[in-house]
This record gives sequence, C-alpha cells and structure tokens, in this order.
Amino acid sequence: MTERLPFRAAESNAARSAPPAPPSPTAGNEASGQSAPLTVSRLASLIGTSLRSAFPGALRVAGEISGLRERTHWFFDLKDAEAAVNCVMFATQARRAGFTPRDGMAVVVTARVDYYARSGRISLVCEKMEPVGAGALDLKLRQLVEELRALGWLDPARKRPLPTFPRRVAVVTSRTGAALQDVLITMKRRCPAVGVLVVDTRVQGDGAAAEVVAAINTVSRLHAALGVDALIVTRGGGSAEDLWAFNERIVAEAIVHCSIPVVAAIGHEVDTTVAELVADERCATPTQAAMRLAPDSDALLRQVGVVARRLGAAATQLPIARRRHLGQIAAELDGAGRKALHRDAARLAALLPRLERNRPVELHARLRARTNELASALTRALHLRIQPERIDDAARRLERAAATVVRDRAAIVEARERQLGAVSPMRVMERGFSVTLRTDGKVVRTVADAPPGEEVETRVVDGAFRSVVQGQRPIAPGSDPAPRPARRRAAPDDAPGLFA
Amino acid sequence: MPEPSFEEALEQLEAIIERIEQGKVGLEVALAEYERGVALVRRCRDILTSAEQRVEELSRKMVEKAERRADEEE
Repeated sequence: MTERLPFRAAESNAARSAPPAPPSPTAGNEASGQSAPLTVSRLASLIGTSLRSAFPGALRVAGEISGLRERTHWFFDLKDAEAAVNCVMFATQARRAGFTPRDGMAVVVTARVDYYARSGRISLVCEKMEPVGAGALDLKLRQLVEELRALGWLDPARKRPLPTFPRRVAVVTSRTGAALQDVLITMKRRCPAVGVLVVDTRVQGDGAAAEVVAAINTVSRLHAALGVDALIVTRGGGSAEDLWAFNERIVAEAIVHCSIPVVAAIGHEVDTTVAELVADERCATPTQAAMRLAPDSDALLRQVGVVARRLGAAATQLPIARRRHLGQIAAELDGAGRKALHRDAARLAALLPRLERNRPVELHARLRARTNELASALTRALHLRIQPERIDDAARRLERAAATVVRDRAAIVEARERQLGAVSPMRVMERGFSVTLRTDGKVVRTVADAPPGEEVETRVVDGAFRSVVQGQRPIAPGSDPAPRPARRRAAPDDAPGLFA
Repeated sequence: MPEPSFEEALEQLEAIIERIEQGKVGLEVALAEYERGVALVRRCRDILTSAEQRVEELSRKMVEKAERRADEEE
C-alpha cells in the first residue's frame, strides 16, 4: 500500500502547504476508522493537490468534441469510444484557436488537469486546440487563404486583364492528363493561330507543387523570349488530396509574381483551390480556360471584314467627304467674312469633281494642295470664331502687352530723368558758365539788356556777385573767334536745349 | 520590322482609317495609307484563317535558347 505514489506525494505536499496540519490519512486511520473523519473540503483539497502533482505539466489529449456550448468560453466534452472528460477553453485561448470547433470534430488539445472542488468535477483547461485529419487540412487552407487575403493577393484590383489575342499560351499541366487534351482541342477549334507551349509537370503527390512553381517561374522569366503572352495552370478533377499541390503557398506566390496573366482551372467546378483564388482569372474547367484565352476566330474575321469595308469606303469617298467638309464649314460660318468664305467654299466644292476628272497630275496635286490649304484656313477661321480659349489667350496677350507698355514708359521717364540731370544749370555752371541777372530779375541775354551803369547780379556755381556794367562791346555774329555757347552742345553728352 | 501581331495590325488599321476619314492627310498620303491598310487587312485574315495549330513542349534546349536571347536583350 505504501507504494501508491501519487497519494504519498499528495500527502506530503498537503502536509507542507496546509497549516494547521490536519490528521494524516494514514493506512491505520483508513483501516480502523477510529480517527477523526476528513471533511469534504479537506478531501477535495487533497484530490486537487494530488492531481496537480500527478499531472504537473500540460498534456496533449486527442479526442472528439461533444456537447459543445460556445459562449464567450468554450465548454465541451472530449471523448473517445470508452471515456469522456469535461473541458473548458477560456475566451482568450479560444480566440487564438483560428477556427470554431463543432461537435464530432477530432482535435488535439493542450491542457492541464484541474479539479474544481465546488462541483467536484475534474476538467481539462485547454490552452491550445488543433484539428486533426481532414479538419487539419481544412484549417490550414483557411488560414492560408486569410493570410493571402491580408496580403491583398485575392484583391480583384490586383488582377490583370487577359490579352485579347495572345501570340502563344503556356499550359502548365501534366503532359498525359485529360486537361491538356481539352485545352488543345478547344484552342484549335477557336483559334489555331494562337500557339501553345506545353510545360509538363506533375500535378499531384509530393513534389508536384515545387514542379508547378518551377514551371511558372521559368515561363515568367522567359516569356518575352518564348513569345508567351499568358499562362494556364490546370489539372482535371480528383480528390482533395490530389488537388492539394494547388493549395500550397509557393504555388500561389509563383502565380501572383508571374509576369504574364495567369488563368487557373483546377479540378471540377465545385473545387476551389488557392491557385484559383489568386490567379488573374479563375475558370471552372480546362476547356473554359482555353476558351477564355483563345479569341473567337469567326467573330474576329467578321470584325476584320467590317474594318476592311470602312477602309474601302474611306478611300473611295475621299473627295466627296472633303467636299462635304468644305460645305459644312461654309454653312457654319457667320459674321462679316461669311459670304466670301461661303462663295470660296462653294467654288472649291464645285471644283473638286473637275479636279478628279482632269488629269494633269501636277495641276491636280497643286490644286489639291491649294484646296487643303484653303480648307485648313477655313477651319482655322472657324476655330478662331468659336474657341473660347482663343479669347482667353487674347486677353492674356493684351495683359502682357499692357504690362510691356507700362514698363517702357517707366524706362522713358528714367531716361528723361537722367537727361534732366545732365542739363541742370548747376552742371553747366560747374564748367565755368554763369548767368547774369538784372535787378528786376531779367536774365541778361544781349548787351542791350545791360547798358553801362546797370547793376547786375552774376550767379556762378557756388554763389553770386554784384557788379555795375562799365562798358559794352557788341560782337558781330560769326566773326567772333570765341566759341558761342550754343556750339558747345555739339558734344553728345552735353546738355541739349539749355543754350538753344 | 517583324510582321505585326493581330492586335497590332488591327490597331494600325484603325488609325489609318481614322486619318483617311478625317481627311487630314493629302490625297497622295491617303492613297499610300490605303495600300498599307489593305496589306494589314490581309495580314489579319491570314492570321485568323491559318488552320495549323503550333503546339510545342517546353524543353531544356528551348529554355537555354530563350535564356541566351533574354541575356542578349539585356
């Protein structure tokens, strides 16, 4: 009996941690029943302690979820064929699980064993929960999808438009698969002109994802040299495990980083793989993928026919079209020049058929050129009338012109100012000239202005002096060798006008 | 100049027709453009009516050749 280790350990733990020391549940006590009985809480405490010491760390327990009550915390039983254990997962941990459990789901929980004394129940307090089997794959897939969504890889705005007429389409698939045959048949039927480059890869099993990635990367890197404008990743239907390679993150990454648009068609219509979610275009089947990329030859031929007719019409109706054009211009014109322009236009229009008939090539070309000139002149004239931006432009030019005028005026004033400085009497006086005034303030210009005895005042540069005229000596004009002051202004930097 | 792809041919064709229709080019230029347009229509029809499908499988040799060409272009 002494070898029942858990209880031994519990006993010693309890003895240490629960003062005052209770009566020990010894073998003697149990056998005789003579000692004081244990209280229920004491027993509960002993059970709790022994459980904790028997399961000191966290355990990993596999089982099936049953009786799930999901409030903020998760309460459920974990069971297998023979047993069940009560479990709780608190909200903080539950949020981190990354999925919501359902009854019947197989999971592995990481938990510690706990004994809840109040109800006498043993529970697993779960810290982690992971699904197993199909559930695990499912969770992994959903977590990957969420991650890629967060990266923006599923964003429709990221997806590139497909080329309307690819030169060549690369098909990443198994050489032997039915998917490739579907693609080839459809492409040939719709548009044989589009080349097909088959890139053989395994499409299921270990290593398939890596091969698909290598194929996509090679085409992406060399697409220009290979002349490939778009890529199809495809395989036929199969089990979830068969399609798994196309749920791998590396495949999604290769598709997203591919330098040309990618169309993905994996499995049947009901299957959705990560590859399809991130591809630029998702198609339900390989045939649809081929349809999506191969243009419809018949429709395009009809389109070319329409274009060809337009070309022919444009060429044959060229002179007629031009005549109509001139007539239109004339009709649209109004105002002063209208009648004259109209007459010209009408004459030109009338001239055109004759131009077409008359065959001197040079004349024809010259007249044609003249016609063009006049036509564009008319067009210009018309535009001048009707384009509001022309008015804006004119207004701006007017403003600029006005500004220039003001600037020019300012320059003139400045020049005049300089000239004025040069002609200032003070400047002249600096050079030795003087002005003589009579007492009445009149400037003495001639000898007659200052008869002898007249008192005069002579102003020089730094002042004035008074004197009385003592005599006169008239000079005959032209005979005097002394330079007349007026002559001095011949020098260009001299003051103009003062002695004029 | 390599032969234009279908899309390029169609694009050039549209541009030619527009120029002729708008009458912005002289008659001589228009006629030259018309000739070019006719050739482009032929090119488009040839592409669409070719019955032969060119299917190749990507081989190591092709990859090496493409790599050399890609290197030269760089």
